[in-house]
Amino acid sequence: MALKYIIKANKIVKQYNNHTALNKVTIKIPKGCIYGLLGPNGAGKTTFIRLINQISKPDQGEILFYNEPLNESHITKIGYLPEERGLYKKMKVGEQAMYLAQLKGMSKMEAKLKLTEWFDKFDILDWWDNKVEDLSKGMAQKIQFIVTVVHEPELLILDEPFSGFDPINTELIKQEILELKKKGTTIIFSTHNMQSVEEICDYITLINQSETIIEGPVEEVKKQFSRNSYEIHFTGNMISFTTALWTGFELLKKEEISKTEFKVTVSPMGNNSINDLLGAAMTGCKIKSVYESSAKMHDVFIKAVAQANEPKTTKKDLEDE
Amino acid sequence: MNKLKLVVKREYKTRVQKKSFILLSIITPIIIAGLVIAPILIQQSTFKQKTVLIVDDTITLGDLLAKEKSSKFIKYINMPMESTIEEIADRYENAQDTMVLHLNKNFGVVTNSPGQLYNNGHPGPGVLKTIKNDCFDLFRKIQVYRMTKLNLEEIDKRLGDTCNIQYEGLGVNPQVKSYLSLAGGLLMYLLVLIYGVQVMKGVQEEKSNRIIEVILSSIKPVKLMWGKIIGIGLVGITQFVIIIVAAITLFSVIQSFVDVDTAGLVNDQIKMMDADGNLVDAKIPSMTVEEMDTLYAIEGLKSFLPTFLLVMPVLFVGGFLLYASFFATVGSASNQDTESQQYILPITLPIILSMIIAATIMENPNSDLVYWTSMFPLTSPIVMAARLPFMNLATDWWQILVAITLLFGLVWLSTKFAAKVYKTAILMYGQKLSYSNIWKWFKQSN
Repeated sequence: MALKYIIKANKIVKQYNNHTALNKVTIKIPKGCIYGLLGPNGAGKTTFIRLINQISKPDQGEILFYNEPLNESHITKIGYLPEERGLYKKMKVGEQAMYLAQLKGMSKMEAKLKLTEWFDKFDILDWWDNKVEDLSKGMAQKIQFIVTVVHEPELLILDEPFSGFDPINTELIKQEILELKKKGTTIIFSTHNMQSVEEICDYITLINQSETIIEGPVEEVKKQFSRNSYEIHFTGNMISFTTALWTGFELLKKEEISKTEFKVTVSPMGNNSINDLLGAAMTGCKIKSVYESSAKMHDVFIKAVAQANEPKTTKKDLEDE
Repeated sequence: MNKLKLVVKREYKTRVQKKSFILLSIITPIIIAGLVIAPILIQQSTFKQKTVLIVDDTITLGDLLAKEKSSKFIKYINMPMESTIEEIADRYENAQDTMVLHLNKNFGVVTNSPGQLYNNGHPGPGVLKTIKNDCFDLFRKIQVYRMTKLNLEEIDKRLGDTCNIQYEGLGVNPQVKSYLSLAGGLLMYLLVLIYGVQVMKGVQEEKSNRIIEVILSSIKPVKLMWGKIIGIGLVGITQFVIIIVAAITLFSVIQSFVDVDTAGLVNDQIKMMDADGNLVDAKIPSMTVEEMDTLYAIEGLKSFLPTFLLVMPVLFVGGFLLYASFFATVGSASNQDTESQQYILPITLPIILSMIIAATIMENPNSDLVYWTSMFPLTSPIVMAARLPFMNLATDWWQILVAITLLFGLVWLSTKFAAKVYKTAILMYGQKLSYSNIWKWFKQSN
């Protein structure tokens, strides 16, 4: 079945004075997924997010929201939690949440009802009449998250949503994000935390120096960047294992757990099968576990950016490396 | 609800609910009222009519003083002929507000023969001066009478009729005009400055606490800017109305004070008569010069009020929009409060200059400087406000019209400019506030 895209950004160009913030960037975001928007600082992620939020307009290209050119009516269908976020310090929490919810097109009654539900869910109903300046950073973050999602947007844009949260609240927010995804909300997730990308993202786009350098489903991207390698955990004699490598494998990494216990990472040379290696190794070692190892998003990020920043290095070179 | 309305409502509500606004709304009229009424009240509360008992050896002066010069400040009572100064002075030795004045028979005839005033404690220079003046005035009139055979009333009448200066111009009297002018100019100055700066602070607040990005994902920047300007402007108008209403109430209060005072005086006079028999005429005293002035001022104000209430709000809206747009530009382009300080000066300079010019209007309402600056849009909101009381509306109405047209023309340009800069600058962090950057952001949003 063909994917239904909530956002299709086609060859977007955005310039500020003489600086090109986005250069012919094309991003398609399937409906109902969590879409990681990655990239080094200053790559153009925030610019792209602002374009979707209609805070600014692209100089070239177009952005479609469910195949419709982005327009003012879409504002209420999008929720945005920016990285640099704040609240009016002197305003009361409830009053402020009501204001922001109404700005997103909710009626007063609807806003009150939904906000009460969310405040209750986060167990913060008694903050309603507190002033924002009396809240801790973490508390304010919760309010910000609530006002981002209260109008039940179809597209949720979260820029570093976990920053400023302790592990407990991070988990709470993560669960809420997954819950929203289950309900059909599409989430654009911009972060530098690669572990959370691996945990929750279905797709990613990596923007570097105003251009898209990788995009696709997370697993595919990882595969694309992983060398064909295996992680083997065994007990026994290291010498006999090394002998077994003669079946056509290269030892990439060796970790000595004890004198008779090792974890190694090996990579086949040519089309050799892991079965040959294991068969040969089993004569002198006891195999405890074997995993096909895939690249971590962290490595993908670093490799891809390094590759992009090195003009002479081609993708082929990277794979041959 | 319409988003612009939402923003206006928030800007208005949060400011009007602030303690500082409520306090200012209560305190300002009280201060104004205090400044006007306090002297009257102080005078009334500390004032006690002094009684001067006259032991008159000149035979003529004592009786005349009692008849002609008794006022709400000093009541002269001429003691019976047979009273001696020793007897009377002894009797009133410990009296607080009763003095004894002894006019010996050489008083006014021989140089070194002053009248003696006996009092327990010093009577105060004012009282002493009044008594001296009263005696002098009467004595002078007696001298004139002796030569011309005209009686006292006739002399008074002739002096009053022949030696007087009257203002023949139109409308309110010049003194009142001056007060109105100063009040109008000052009010406009404070409102434009206070609420203009509030717009800047409000814009800065949203930018510096980073809520701006969230807000802008819901509403267009220009709408947000207008919402803020309108909201704060309405706060200004609210304050304006409170001050005007308080001022009107205040004038009625003053008026009632004047009335009460007069009534009180009549009663005093009647009491005086009852207590002292035929010594003092039971005449209804005329109002003092000050009281006349106050009443005159109130009458003048009443006739001027409709123009004032019609033109002032228009000038305020224009002046406020003009300066608010400048302040919004600086607010959106600055990253922190301290950075904007030096950029406020060029904006406040015409405001301050306007006030300085407005202050000269009292001295010279028809100068060229006043004429031109009352129509130049950067200065007209304040200078015109201060000039209003001095204008002859029947012939000068077109000047007001020109001033307002020019003002709103510039407002149109300045708000357009502000909106363009605001749109780009509000999301620019880490870029210094400078004229070149402001210009760059203006061009960028074209």
